[in-house]
Amino acid sequence: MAYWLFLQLLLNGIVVGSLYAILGISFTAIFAPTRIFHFMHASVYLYAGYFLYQFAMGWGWPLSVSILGAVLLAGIMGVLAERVIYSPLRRMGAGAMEMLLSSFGGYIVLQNVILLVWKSDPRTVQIPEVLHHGIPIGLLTFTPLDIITVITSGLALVSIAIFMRYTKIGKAMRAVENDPTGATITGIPTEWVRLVSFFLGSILVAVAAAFHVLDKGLEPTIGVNAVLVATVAMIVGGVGSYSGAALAGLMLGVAENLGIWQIPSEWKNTITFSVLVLFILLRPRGFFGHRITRYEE
Amino acid sequence: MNYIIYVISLIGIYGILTVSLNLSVGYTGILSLAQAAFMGIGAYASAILLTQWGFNFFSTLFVGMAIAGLVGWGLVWATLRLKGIYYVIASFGFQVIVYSIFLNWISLTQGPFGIRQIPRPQAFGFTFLGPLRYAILILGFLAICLWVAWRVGESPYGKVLRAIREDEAAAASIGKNVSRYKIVIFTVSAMLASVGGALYAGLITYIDPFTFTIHESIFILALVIIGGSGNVYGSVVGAAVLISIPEMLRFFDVPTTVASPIREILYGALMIIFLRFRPKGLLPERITHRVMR
Repeated sequence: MAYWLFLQLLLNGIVVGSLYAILGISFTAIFAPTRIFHFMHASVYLYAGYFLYQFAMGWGWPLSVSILGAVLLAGIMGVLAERVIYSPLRRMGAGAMEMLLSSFGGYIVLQNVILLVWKSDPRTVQIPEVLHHGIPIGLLTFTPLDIITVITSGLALVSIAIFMRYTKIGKAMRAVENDPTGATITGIPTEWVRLVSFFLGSILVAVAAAFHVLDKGLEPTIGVNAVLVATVAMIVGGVGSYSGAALAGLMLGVAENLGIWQIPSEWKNTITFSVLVLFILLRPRGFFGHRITRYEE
Repeated sequence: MNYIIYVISLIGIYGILTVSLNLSVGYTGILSLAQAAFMGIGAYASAILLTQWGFNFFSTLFVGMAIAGLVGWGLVWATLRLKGIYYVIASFGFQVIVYSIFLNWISLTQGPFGIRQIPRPQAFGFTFLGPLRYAILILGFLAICLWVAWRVGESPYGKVLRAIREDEAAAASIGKNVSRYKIVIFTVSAMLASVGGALYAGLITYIDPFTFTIHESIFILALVIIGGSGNVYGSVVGAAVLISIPEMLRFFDVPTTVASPIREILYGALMIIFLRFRPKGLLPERITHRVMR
C-alpha cells in the first residue's frame, strides 16, 4: 500500500516538477542576461492565467486559441515591462536595487488592477472532461492532462536548450550574460537581446501558468508563489545554468509531493524556502553555477 | 474626530516602521524584505502575552523587542557574506518562512483565525484606553524612535554606516568593522520594527497572519523610498503623506472593494514614478559636513 502511495506521489511530483522546471528556466532566461530580479514575473504569470480565463470562459474562444493568445499577450507584457520600467531606469544609470524596487511597484499596480477587473474570487477554466479523467495503471492513476503537461514541458526544455546553444540570438543572450560590456563592444545589440530574453521568459512562464490554471484554477495569489518557486529553482540549480534550473525545479516538485507523505502540506512553502535559504547560505552557486562572483555587486 | 485620531495613530505606527527600515536600507544599504516579519513578531509577541499570559503591555514590548532582536541578529549574522540581490532573496525567503509560521503554528498563533480582543495597554494605573490617549502613546514612541534613529544616523556612527553603503571594502580598509556595524544596525532596526508591530496590534486589537506578508514589507519599503532613504524625517513625512492621501478616498463615495486596490495602485505607481524622477524621495538625504556631538 505504502509502496503504491510512494509511486503515486512520485508521479504527481514529476508532473508538478515539470511545471516548476519551466518556471525556473523562464526566470533564468530573464535574470541571467539582464541581471534584473524581475518580480513582475509574478504579474506576467498571473495575467497569463487571467487572459486565458477571459478568452476561454469570458469570450468562449477555443481552448488552444485561448492558450496561444494568452501566451503571446504575456510575452508582450514582458517586453513592455522592460521598455516601460527597466530600460528608462537603465539609461539613468540606476542600479539593480532600483530596478528591483520599481519591479515591486509595477507588481503592486498590476496585482491590484486584477482585483479591480476580475475581483479576488477563485476562477476555473473548463476543459474537456476527458482530460481530467484518471487513467488507472494498477493502483496508480494519472490524467491525460498530466501527460500533456509533462510532454509540453519536456518539449519546451529541449527547444530552449537548442535555442540557447545553436541560434544566433541564443548565443548573444549567453554572451550578454557573460560580459555585457564586452558583448556591446563586439557589436551585439544588447537592447534587442534584453527584449528577446524578456519575451522568451514571459512566454515560458505563461505556458506554466496555462497548465496550472487548467489543472488547479486561478486565484490572485498564485503569481507570487510562482516567482518564489522560480527563484528557488534558479538559485538551487545555479544562476545561469538552464539545465540546472530545470533539474532543480523538477526535484523541488518531487520533494514537495513526497514531503506530503510525512509532513502536513501546509508547511510546504516553509520547507521550500528553508531549502532556498540553506542553499543561499551554504552553496550560493547552486548545483551547476560556477559564475557566481559576477552577480555580486 | 475619532477617525482623524485613528489615521494619526496609523501614521505614527508606520512612521516607526519606516524609520526602522530606513536605518538598514537608507543608511547602511542592506535592502531587507523582511521588515513585516519583525513587525509581525512584535505584534504576535504582544498579542499572545497580553491575551493568554496576562502580561503588562510594556513588558510585552520588551519581550517582543528581545525576540525580534535575537531573530534579526541571527538573520543578519547568517547572511553577512551575501551581497546585493542575494541578500534580498534571502530576506524574501525569511519573510515567507516567518509568515507561514504565523499561519501554521496554530496552537500558538491561532493561525488564520487571528488573535482577537487584544487589550489596550495599561501602565502605572493609567489606561491608554481612549483613542486619543493611545495616539499620544504612539506618537511618544515615534518620538523615541526618531530620537534613536537620529542619534544613530546623524552621528559619526551614521557616517560609518553611509560609508559602508557606498563602499564596503573602502570602509573596511580604513579599519571599520563592517560586519559589526551591519549586525548592530540590523538588530536595532528589527527591534524598532517589533515596537511598531506591538503598537499596531494594540491599535487594531485584532491581528492575523495576512497583515504580515511580503506585501507589507514592500509597502514599508515604498514608504522609505518615497519619503527619502537616508533621512529619518523623510520617513515620517513619507508615511504621513502616503497614509493620509489615500484615506481621503473615504470622503468620496467609493466602496472599500474598489478603494483599497486604488490605494495600492497609487502606492505602486508612486514608487515607480519616484524611483524614476526623484530617486532621493520627498526629503532627500542631507549630508552634514560638520558632525554634531
